[in-house]
Amino acid sequence: MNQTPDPLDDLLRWTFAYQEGPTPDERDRARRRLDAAIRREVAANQRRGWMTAAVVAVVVASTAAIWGSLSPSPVMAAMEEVAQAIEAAPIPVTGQEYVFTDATESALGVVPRDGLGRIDYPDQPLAYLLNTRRQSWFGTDGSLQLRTTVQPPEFFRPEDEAAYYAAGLDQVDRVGEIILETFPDAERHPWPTDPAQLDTWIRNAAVTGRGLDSDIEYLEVALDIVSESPAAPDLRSGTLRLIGRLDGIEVVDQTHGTKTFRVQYRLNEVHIDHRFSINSSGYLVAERVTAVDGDQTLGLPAGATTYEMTVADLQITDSLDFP
Amino acid sequence: MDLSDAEAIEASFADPSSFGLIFERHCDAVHRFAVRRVGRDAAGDIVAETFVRSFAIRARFDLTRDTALPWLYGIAANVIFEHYRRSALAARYSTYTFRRGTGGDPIAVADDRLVAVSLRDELISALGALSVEDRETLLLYALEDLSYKEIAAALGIPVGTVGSRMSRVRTQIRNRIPDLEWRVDRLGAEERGDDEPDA
Repeated sequence: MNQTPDPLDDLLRWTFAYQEGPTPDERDRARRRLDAAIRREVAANQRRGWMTAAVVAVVVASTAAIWGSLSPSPVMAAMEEVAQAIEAAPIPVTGQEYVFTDATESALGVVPRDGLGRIDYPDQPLAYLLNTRRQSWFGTDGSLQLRTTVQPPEFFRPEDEAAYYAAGLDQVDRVGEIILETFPDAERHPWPTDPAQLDTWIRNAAVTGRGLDSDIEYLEVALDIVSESPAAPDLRSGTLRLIGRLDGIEVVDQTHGTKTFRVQYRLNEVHIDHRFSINSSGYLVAERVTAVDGDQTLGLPAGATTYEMTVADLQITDSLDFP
Repeated sequence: MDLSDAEAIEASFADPSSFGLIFERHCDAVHRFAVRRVGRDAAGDIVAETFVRSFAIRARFDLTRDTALPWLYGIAANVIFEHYRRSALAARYSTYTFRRGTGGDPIAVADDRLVAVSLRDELISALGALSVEDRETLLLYALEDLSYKEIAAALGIPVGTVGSRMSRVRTQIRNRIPDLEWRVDRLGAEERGDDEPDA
């Protein structure tokens, strides 16, 4: 390998001798964007934490009853029914096609008080719901085109809305913008389809160091596989069967071809209800987390939804345009 | 003791705020990287997007690496390319980025004291004639001081490809500026206050 000095390199360095850093304002804007992304992940982790406690609570309560039964649990039977339907009528995707999904999401954002700057607001975090529409084109080569429309947020109290805009958080969240991104290698994992291997891979992926119960992390990873993704039919059916083996989940609705499941629990005096729905093609099509009795520390009223996501039926398209 | 880049990223899986250390450590370098390519006006957005995206995909960072900077440069290069595609300037990107007179042109940050205007313009024209991949390889080496190995990691290509690209790029530029060595030497002599070297 030749890395000897070259006069051309000197010429380039002279020509582009720019050495200044960003201005304080430029640096601050960039840091606020990163901090917003960090806050969103913390909120998502918190949501997973709620789910953890939920499933643990239900597992403890129901373990004896389930172990005492020799027949499949209702969840196991429901997941098996969907898995068989997937295998009976797989949706084929060829090399030049894309899986298009269209999702709307409302996610809880929590901003610490010191992140609001010098505005008139109580000494407590600000909570709001950030609404986005996410349209995705998944290529069979692992590529992803993502079009995110950031819609106006929703607030639980008028003072939260005033504080949000006074602190300029709408600019941080890029409210009103349409963000088009492409990721050449977005495919998350080359998941195996052998049930034992898949089980091992999910368990390995579920170890994130957040200190959560591994079974709950397991459920989160499994739901990710069957959410907006190009997961092949055999991967989806296998994943659903593994979810069906988890304790602590109950079936709440099986009408209209879509099955809805629920976990419930109390965490830090907050009663949480988490529901997710799987359609007959094996895709996660809806999710909702509710603080049943509210959360005083965040100003959430009883019945406040802290996360909600719905996905329209996927479509197969041969271009990166709208189907 | 300060965490290394790898340790900070690893810690951010449990405590996402640990990623802030990566920002504080490399923000200036990524900003300079962006200014040299898209100009001062657009650099702020590129920097912000680079760190947001790197945070989102930090699980892909190779924790055996000493520094995250080459990885960040690779992400920034992708963000810049997408920036031009989003701006419907993709078709122009391969030829216009370094030209005089375009909005946010990095030529504004070139140093007129050291580089004669004619040679500067010839160099910019030669860079504009390169493919995006070839030009980025050259600039990562010459401007960001990355090793061939680091460039390979940043661009996701084999080290051998970096070497062959560098060789090809240098040849291409010399073909367009045949007396480059003499003129660079002359500029250096002017800076030092020497007499004119022999042609």
